[in-house]
Amino acid sequence: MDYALTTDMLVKHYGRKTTLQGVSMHVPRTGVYGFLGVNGAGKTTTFGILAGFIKANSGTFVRSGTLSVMPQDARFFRGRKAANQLEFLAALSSVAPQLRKKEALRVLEQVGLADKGHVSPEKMSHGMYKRLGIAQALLGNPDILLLDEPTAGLDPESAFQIRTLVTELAVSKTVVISSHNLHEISEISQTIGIIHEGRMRFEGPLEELTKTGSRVEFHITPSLDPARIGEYPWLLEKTYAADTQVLSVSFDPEQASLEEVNWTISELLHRHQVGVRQIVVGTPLEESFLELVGKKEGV
Amino acid sequence: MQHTFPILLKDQILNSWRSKKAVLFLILYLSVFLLLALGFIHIQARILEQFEQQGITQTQQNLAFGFAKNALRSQNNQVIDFLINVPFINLALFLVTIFGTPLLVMLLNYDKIAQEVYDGTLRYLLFRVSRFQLYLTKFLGSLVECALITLVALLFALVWASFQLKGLDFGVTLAYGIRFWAIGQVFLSVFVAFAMMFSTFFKKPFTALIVGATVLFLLFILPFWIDYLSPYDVKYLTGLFYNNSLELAETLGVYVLFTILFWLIGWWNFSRKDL
Repeated sequence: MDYALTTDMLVKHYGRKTTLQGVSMHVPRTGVYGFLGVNGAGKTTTFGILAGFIKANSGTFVRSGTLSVMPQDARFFRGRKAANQLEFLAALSSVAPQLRKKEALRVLEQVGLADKGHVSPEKMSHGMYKRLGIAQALLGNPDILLLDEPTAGLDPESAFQIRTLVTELAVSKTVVISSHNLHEISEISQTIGIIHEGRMRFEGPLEELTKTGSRVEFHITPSLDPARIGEYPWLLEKTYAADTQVLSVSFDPEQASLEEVNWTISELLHRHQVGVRQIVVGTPLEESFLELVGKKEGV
Repeated sequence: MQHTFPILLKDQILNSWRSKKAVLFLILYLSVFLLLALGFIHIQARILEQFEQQGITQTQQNLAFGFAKNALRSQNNQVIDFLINVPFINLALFLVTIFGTPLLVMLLNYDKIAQEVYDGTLRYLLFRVSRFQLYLTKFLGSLVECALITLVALLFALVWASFQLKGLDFGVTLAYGIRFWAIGQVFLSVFVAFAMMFSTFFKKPFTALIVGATVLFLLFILPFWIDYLSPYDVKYLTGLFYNNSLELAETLGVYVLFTILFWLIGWWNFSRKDL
């Protein structure tokens, strides 16, 4: 597989505390890589190492292409107009002198701040400041973008705008976005990496994590003994949660398609006069995430 | 060196003048410097008047002011010859510069790194340029800042002196003024490197200031360091006071070595720390 960014066993200690315990990532070229983890899991430290802010104690990383970052805690200079600061950063991003003004305007337009170039960043709202942070990361048209919690603390409208922008950018770029907002990540990411207590707990396609191709939930009324479903060659597991009245079916996608499983189970439920309130394909990301994070801890 | 170096350097030089703190210290420094200069000019003007009445020459005047005290003690005729020919105002301003400016340099540079790390402004630069470029341009920017401040202060004082002191040869005074100013920059570069070094060791700018100022004070009073870095009675500073190029080279060499030493320690720490 073609990777834009890989890390190999990154380790970082802060005194006696080990923040990263050997993080290996494989970020595919183009698309969105959702980097998930609870606060303090090691997301920002990993980004810091990739961006050069933090020195790893051991481990390596390789990137193919230019990399740009929107750090979580970075600040623009006070008292200097946003456009001027972007022009300066464009100069440092190897943009030719005659193109710097244009480049600053281009990225401001891209994040919806075209009319705010004359404003000092400290006078901007939190949402505008975040977008300006993304704008600086877009200078010089980098191949890889690291966005550290780009929507943290934003109102729903601003967060939506940023998600839309990330989706657009990911058509031609590799975007690694860190967040602890699972809903947001599941909406825009194709690949997921889950870090917990400094270790990667999962890395792979979103479908693999949420089992969208191998698991279906039937929210039913009244209850049904799963034994009455019978046995099928493709059926791997069937469980029924009485408290939520959810029948979960895991299947082997190589032996049956999702449509076949749906049809078979729905017909069976109909035969037993059990009503279906809702069909959910796969496992909610939140559930998968908690399972991965909690299992290891014995929670 | 990448092509981003001049862009960064230009920004560092301009950035120095954008900060309110820098402007405040600059005004304060200029005020104190000019006040002292005016004081010296006034004193000299009054004493000259008395000397003239008593028929005392320029040579004797400088000795009378006590600026050749150390030189006399050293029994170095070359130093005495040099000193008695230097206009009093040049000696006075040079001593004010080397005594007072290290403090200004500390105040301007103690947070050069620490403040930017604390504010997070470095983070937009770090993935675009190397740490070496950042540290070097900050250092060079501070040298330029220091040079401009001291030059402006000196020129103001000399112009004022030329109006106030009868018989002062402005050409000669300016020539000595520029000579001492240039030599002073080498001396002050030690303190720029020193302040920046401290700035890399502390996360909080205020801590950097307190520790840096304390160590600076100790440097000025501790016996070992007095020989090298204190402008008071320094061993190597005498090289500045006569036309012996070997002695002058030794003096400047010592200060350049100190600058390099502090710079390297600061750079070593900056290059390895988490920002």
